[in-house]
Amino acid sequence: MARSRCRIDGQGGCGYALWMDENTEKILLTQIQNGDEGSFEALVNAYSARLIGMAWRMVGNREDGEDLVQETFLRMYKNIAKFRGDSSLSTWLYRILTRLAIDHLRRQKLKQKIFFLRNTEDDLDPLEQAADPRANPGEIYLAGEAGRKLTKALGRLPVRQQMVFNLRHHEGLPLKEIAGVLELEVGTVKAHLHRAVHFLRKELKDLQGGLS
Amino acid sequence: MTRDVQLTSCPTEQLILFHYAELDEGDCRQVEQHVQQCRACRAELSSLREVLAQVPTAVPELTAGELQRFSSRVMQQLPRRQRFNRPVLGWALAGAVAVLLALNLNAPVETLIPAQVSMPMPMMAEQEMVNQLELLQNLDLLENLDLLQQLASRG
Repeated sequence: MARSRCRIDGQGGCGYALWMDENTEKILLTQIQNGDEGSFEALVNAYSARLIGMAWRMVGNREDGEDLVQETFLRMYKNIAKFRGDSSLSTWLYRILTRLAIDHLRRQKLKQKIFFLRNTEDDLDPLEQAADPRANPGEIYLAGEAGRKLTKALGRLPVRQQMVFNLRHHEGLPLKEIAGVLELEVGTVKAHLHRAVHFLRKELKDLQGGLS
Repeated sequence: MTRDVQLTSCPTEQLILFHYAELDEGDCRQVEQHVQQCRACRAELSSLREVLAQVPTAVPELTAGELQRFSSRVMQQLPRRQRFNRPVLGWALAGAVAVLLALNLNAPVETLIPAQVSMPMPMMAEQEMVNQLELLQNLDLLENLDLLQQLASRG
């Protein structure tokens, strides 16, 4: 059964579609499992742009995003023999990437906390001084101050809420698919999405209240 | 399944799911009808969409060259032991051994028996030593030839 679900609904989550049809995916998978490097390279070429864009949004900068995607492909390659086909190849790739991104973001937050705790009150606020990759205009298109604030606010969300919001809002994955990727219940995914949206609304309201 | 109960208000969570087209058909239709009639819910939905529309979505696209470089980078990182085809390697080695043997078999036999060779010049003596060394090296290869042929046949 073909699973191409291009949901260009114009409202939210536009543009989700499987990257290749199920049959092509199965053929590639079999060839890669037989050691065909050419097929693996074809897979990398087919999925790189999408995954790098996704990772870029998740972690806020291109360099880290590319490193995560590279690691995703390598892990996939090393474990390809164990892949049983319970999910699609694309879901598996998403799953690996989101796990890597979650670990990365948690490490980043921990580093910030440690840096903050180890410094005295006289030191400048590291959150103000640290380079915020999300605010680099050379890499991310920002829609004014509101856009920048919302992007920063996203970074302050708990990691799982960030992931759910990114996967739904930017990548257009259905909530059921997100549940599979993150290995959560659908109800939990919905709760994360609601909290993320509520938080962003509050941030924007505070900003608009501050500017008026 | 169509529900007969009319919505009196839409919780914000419901509107979020409606915005993302995550409601089932029945619920979706119900919310849609309610929003058309209820100003408060219509305003709430509009406010939600306004917030979500302001979240930056675009990232610069990678060029074809950048994607190619990235792909090459990934391929270079693949585990080495999986990159070589053993039968090809085995036959390549066997071929190299055969060529070396052929070259040495064409060399004059006299070089092996120094007493039978006239050595007019010191350079000839050095050449003989080199030839003998090559032959010794080839003898090592000869000993491994059986192993190489076994590897090649296993595939």
